Amino acid sequence: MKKFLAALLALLMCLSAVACTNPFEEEEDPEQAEAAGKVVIKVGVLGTTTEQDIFSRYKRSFEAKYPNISLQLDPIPGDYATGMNNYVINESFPDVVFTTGDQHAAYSSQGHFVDLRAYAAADDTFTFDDIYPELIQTTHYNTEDEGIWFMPRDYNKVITFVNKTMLSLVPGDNGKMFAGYGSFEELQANWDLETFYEVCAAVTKKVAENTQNPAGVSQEEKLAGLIKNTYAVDARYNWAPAYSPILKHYGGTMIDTSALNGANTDYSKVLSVDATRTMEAYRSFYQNLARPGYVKQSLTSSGVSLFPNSQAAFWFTTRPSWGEVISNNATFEVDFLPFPYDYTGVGCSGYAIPKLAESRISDNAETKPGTSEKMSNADYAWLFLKYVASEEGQNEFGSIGMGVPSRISLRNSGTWTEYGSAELNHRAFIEEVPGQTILSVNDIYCFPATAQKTVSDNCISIMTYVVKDGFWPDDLTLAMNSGNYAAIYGKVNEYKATMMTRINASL
Amino acid sequence: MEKLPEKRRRKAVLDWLSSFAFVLPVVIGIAVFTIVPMVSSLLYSFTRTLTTVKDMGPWVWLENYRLIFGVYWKQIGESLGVTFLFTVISLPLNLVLSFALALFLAKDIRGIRAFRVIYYLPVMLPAVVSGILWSSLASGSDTSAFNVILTHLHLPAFSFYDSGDTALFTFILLGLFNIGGSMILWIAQIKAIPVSMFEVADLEGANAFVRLVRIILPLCTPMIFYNLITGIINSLQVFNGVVTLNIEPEGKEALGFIVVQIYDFYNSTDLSMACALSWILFLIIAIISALTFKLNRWVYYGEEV
Repeated sequence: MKKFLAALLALLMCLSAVACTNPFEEEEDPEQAEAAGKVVIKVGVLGTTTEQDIFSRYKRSFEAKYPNISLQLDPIPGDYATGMNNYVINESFPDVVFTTGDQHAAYSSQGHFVDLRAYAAADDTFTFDDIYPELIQTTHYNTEDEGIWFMPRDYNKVITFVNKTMLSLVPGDNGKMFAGYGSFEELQANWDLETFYEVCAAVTKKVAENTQNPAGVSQEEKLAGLIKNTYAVDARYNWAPAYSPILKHYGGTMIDTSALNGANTDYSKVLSVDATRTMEAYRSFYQNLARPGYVKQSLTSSGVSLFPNSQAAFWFTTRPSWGEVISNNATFEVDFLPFPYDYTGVGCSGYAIPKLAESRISDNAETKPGTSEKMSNADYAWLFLKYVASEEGQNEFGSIGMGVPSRISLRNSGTWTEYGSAELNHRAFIEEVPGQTILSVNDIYCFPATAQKTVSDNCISIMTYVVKDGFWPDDLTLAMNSGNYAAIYGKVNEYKATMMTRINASL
Repeated sequence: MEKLPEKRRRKAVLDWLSSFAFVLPVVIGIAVFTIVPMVSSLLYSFTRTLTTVKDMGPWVWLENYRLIFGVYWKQIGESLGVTFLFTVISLPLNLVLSFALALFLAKDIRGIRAFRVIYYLPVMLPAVVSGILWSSLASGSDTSAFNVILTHLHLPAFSFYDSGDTALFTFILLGLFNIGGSMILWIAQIKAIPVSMFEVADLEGANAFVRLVRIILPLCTPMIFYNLITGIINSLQVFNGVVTLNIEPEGKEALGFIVVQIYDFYNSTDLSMACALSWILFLIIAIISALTFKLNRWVYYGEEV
């Protein structure tokens, strides 16, 4: 028995040792790379499989192009904020670090990243004009800042994912499937907000019928998810890029940046969660999406979105969410349509060069052209960032299917348009919809740094009440005031007080 | 005083030094991982330091404490209230139930070990896993596992974690699945009671209740005291079980324990406020623990010689 336990222990230790080894078998040891005359550039990447897959593709392609540079993976330890804080405390930032439009401000505003405008200005082979301008907006850390603190990698616009399999079983009043449109193509041709609501109504009706008569539901409908607890739309109303454009469509906004006034800013006006027009927008949101039963009135508690489980016909989200559908082994067909409202949100992820990289100079570094000065790791990091934004880099990225290139020239072409199937409506991700305005959703940065998370969290909390029946009167035609809508006003005021406490204490 | 021979003296010095060598790792560990962080967090609490800035921020002295007892007091006070309520309800429940379970599982019955393992198993679940599991099993939706069972029993669905009114109750109730941790300690203590005491009690005609009150409980008081102290500390620092829950904001707000507030400050990059609040919590725990120690005359440590 003892021998068996000893053998088992030894086996477990071997397995642990395997778990500690580098998953990138081809990864070159940094010291070996230095000894081989290469410049080693460390790239801080999230620990997710997708991000590491993207990095390994970049690495292969970039190192083939620049044989004198060795890109080394430096997984960001823990969750993003903890990992970044560790970098700050230990002064251990890698030469390049992953960041996103809604996460970089805490670090770029504190001077941890270099402003890429200086590098672009000194480089004739690159211009930020090649990148979508709305993405460049997300690289600033507040509304007054003009710095470009990271290189946008992808164009994440909120669009509508469509469960084609489910809709192919949803009849309209005329008896045709796809809620009366007959086919996805016909639905696409007629796609607007009215059509969206029309399809939502048809799905909700079909689900209600099947719930009433579960015995009469065909196997095909069951497999497609047309059963109890399925909703027309997984609207992600707890996610600012999805709910902000809808509120804006209905005339409201939770953060009113037009009220900013430098040092004299009255933040209680900027935080317009309780403004009458915002309250009216909540009401429209509730009236059009929640009361008819198109959205689930509580957030899913399982941590999984409805759509990937075939529990929703539509999903308001961005391209990377496709990975969630795929990893869920979805058996239904997915296609894409534009966001149906007058506004849509856009954001991006990308790579920044930490300031520390400017002070690192490799023994193998070359001299800068026309000078005797050696290139710093930041100069080499810039080569990597340029590669990320190049057509070549964007095609490497596009080939994994989870992102839309940030480069305008690849709007209609490139590997990303072939992922899954070239027949899919990939255009939905980049299409300019007539009358639709694209919002860079980073208004939160107009608040003091230590109040931003509280504001963000509490705005989401407000939205979770906006969709609940219990917080609205039966008659929604009543004038908007705290007397007629006491319950929702009560909640909003409660949250606003919490947010203002944090804002005022942070000033 | 007679001088020791040189050889013995050198051996004594060597022994003396080697004893220090053995305790050195612990001393270094405590210094580096406890004393230094405690001192630096105390210093941070008197400054305005952000997690996104390496250097210590400007000194603001008692400003962070003034904010906690001023503008933040409504929020922090509520949070302390919830934390104390949780402690006052869950701690006695845990103590009593784990003790009752241990009384049963300390018996030498065939197959009892299997039950001990079963009751201990939930303790071994990582916090993240149990958070996800309970969020899913005890959500307020009518498809959650618990509500499916209730529906089958023709009982109304319960909101569990999804309502501010029931989230704390649910959290306390589901926390009882971890009583296996205390149970193991109780069993060890009960098993350590000399059998001769029970034999004498039997000869004297003592029934089960008398044996419990006169023998088991008095001899278990050191363990009661230990479980009480660790229970107070753990309950006042309750955190993991909350942050890993994936539930409605309404439920999460009802579980706004004090360490969750500290975590929130830290996540909001406000390191100095997080440190100030941590020190307030530390002082509260220290005072309550000191009082508990002061009032521990009921603990039986054996016959004093």
